[in-house]
Amino acid sequence: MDKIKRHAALPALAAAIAILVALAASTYQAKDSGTFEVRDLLGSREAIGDVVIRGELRDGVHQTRFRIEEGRMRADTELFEQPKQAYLYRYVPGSPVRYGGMEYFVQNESSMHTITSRRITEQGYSIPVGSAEVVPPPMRRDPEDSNDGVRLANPPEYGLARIGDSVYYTVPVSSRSIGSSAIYELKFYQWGFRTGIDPQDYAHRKLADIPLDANESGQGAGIEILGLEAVGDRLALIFAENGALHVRSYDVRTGEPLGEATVPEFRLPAREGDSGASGVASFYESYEAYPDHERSTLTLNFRRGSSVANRIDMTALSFGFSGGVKLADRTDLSFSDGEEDTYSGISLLSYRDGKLYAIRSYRGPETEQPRALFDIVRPKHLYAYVYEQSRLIYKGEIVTDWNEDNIRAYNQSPYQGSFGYDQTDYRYFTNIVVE
Amino acid sequence: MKGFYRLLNLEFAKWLAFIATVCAVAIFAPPIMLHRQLKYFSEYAVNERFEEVYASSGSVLLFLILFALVCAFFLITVYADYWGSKSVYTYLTLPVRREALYFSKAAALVIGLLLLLTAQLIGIRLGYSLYESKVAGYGDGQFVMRNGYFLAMIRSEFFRLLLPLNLSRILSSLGLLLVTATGLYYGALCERSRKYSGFVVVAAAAWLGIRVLGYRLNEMSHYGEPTGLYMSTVLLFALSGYFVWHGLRLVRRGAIA
Repeated sequence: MDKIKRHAALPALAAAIAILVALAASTYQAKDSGTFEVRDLLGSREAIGDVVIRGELRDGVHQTRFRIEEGRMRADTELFEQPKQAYLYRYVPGSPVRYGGMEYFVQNESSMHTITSRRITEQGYSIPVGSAEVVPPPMRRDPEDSNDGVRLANPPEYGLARIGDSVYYTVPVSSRSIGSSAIYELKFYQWGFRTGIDPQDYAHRKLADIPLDANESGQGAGIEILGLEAVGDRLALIFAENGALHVRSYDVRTGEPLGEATVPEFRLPAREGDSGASGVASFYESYEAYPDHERSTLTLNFRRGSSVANRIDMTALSFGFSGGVKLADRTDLSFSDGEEDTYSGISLLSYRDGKLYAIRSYRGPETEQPRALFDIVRPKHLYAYVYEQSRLIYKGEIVTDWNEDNIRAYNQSPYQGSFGYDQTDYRYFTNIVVE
Repeated sequence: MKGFYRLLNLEFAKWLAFIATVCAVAIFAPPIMLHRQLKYFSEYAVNERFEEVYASSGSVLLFLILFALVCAFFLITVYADYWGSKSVYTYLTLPVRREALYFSKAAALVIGLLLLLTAQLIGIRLGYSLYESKVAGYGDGQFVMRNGYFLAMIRSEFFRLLLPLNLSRILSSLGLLLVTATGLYYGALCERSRKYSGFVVVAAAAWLGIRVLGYRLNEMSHYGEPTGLYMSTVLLFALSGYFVWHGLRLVRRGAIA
């Protein structure tokens, strides 16, 4: 005993350090022990062999980057040095739109539209950087008309597009507008310094006129501007006219129109004089746009009115922009894999080489996990779909442990009070890309 | 060197029984406390995550108490030299360099703190096994989180403080450990040599340490850009260096007699 006492210090130190290092190493190594795999549900996985699907599954303290290449899943986990706020972005009408590391917000008053640009920080919040103003020409038809309030076909952010550092804007006017609208190139001044500037120096540049003659009569469908998109170094104006969808491409330097594609039988719902019984499906105005700048394609996703409960019906229209504009693909999509996750749902489309890839996430039905009583903690699923010539040829699920973060909320009952939900405690998918 | 080795073991021998008890408590008390906390866990109840059960069981508080006890015990070993036989005079006349005297006491404290840390971490690991086996026992295993130990270790701020897995946080935790050990000793030496001005530096170190602790135990709510905490870590190491340097001077001069 005495001998032990006389030599105990260094062995104790060595043991402490050895155990500490072993515990740290084994904990660190466990970072890649989570589940990450692709489960084929329909068709052969060869269908996603030509593309790379990559993205991140993250929470506030770590993220796993995954990459599905040639049908094989690779995942690598990184621990954050310091916890980060949730980086969740899902455009909802009225919220800012994001391009690159910036977000843009439109404030439209009756005569002037103010666009604010904000820089998105590492922590996920944004700081205002610049402002730009657009004063469109008066386009009101009849101030006395009770319907004159409906002057926009889509929220104003739909009229924004960015190419390089330049931002373009057009007012997404409805068929209640007359006269002439235009596409403008914006000039931003330092945010908050409105009083110190000469408005002449920051006047927008008019790129192209958009005549609204079709609306003069006030009869028929007229013309409605749905939005403006950027594809490579071209602008794409998306508008509906006379029951057809038009996509017109503009040269961004000269403002010259470069071509136009038309999709017939495109009916917007609940328009004046529309009986709704024509048998043609109606498309909702608020489309989702997925441009592919490298391949000069643009995929627009229009939601259709669905007659079946719990089914999401959409139509994806893919346009090619190399030399004019061409409709390359039209695929009707129907999803009945779950409920739309309006909070953190993933929705992504990509068209290439004759195939349409869709990555979407859903909230499972209530019956899947009856212990999860709050909607927000119901199990979620992320699927990859591949369509070829409008036919679903592959469906697979990207399986991870993310739903296990919800275990803590099982049996939490809405009748017993509230339940705190912080996205940093729950893993979520983000930055998913098909390339 | 040989003198230092002997003194260190002599010093550590005083610690043996005490630190063994502390470690035993740190290893076995959390599982017992967790067990009590897990009593009402069932497939019909809300099952908190491990890190939350661990904290609510009182195990975090237990660590704080044990940490304070280790620090207090160290002070006792320092002041015991002045009581009764006043062995500090014997030590100061020993034919060893006085640095050895200083470092033997400081090293014994560092070893004690490291042992407590290790024991607490073993207690966490045991606690997790207990938790996992408990929640796996009902509801068809639906309450078990895959890789749950790892997730708890990176998600809990307290666990990340004890077992950081990033370079910047490892250095920061090391800095906190060193500044606690050297600062405590330095405070005692200042008091013994009546150099009360030294308390100002100790207070500064305590303030910095609390700032760093406060930041690291609440990292999610900091809105600024992520920081490596390197500035504070360098300061912690610099303060530790100063405590050692000035502490050594006090011992060498025999000012502590």
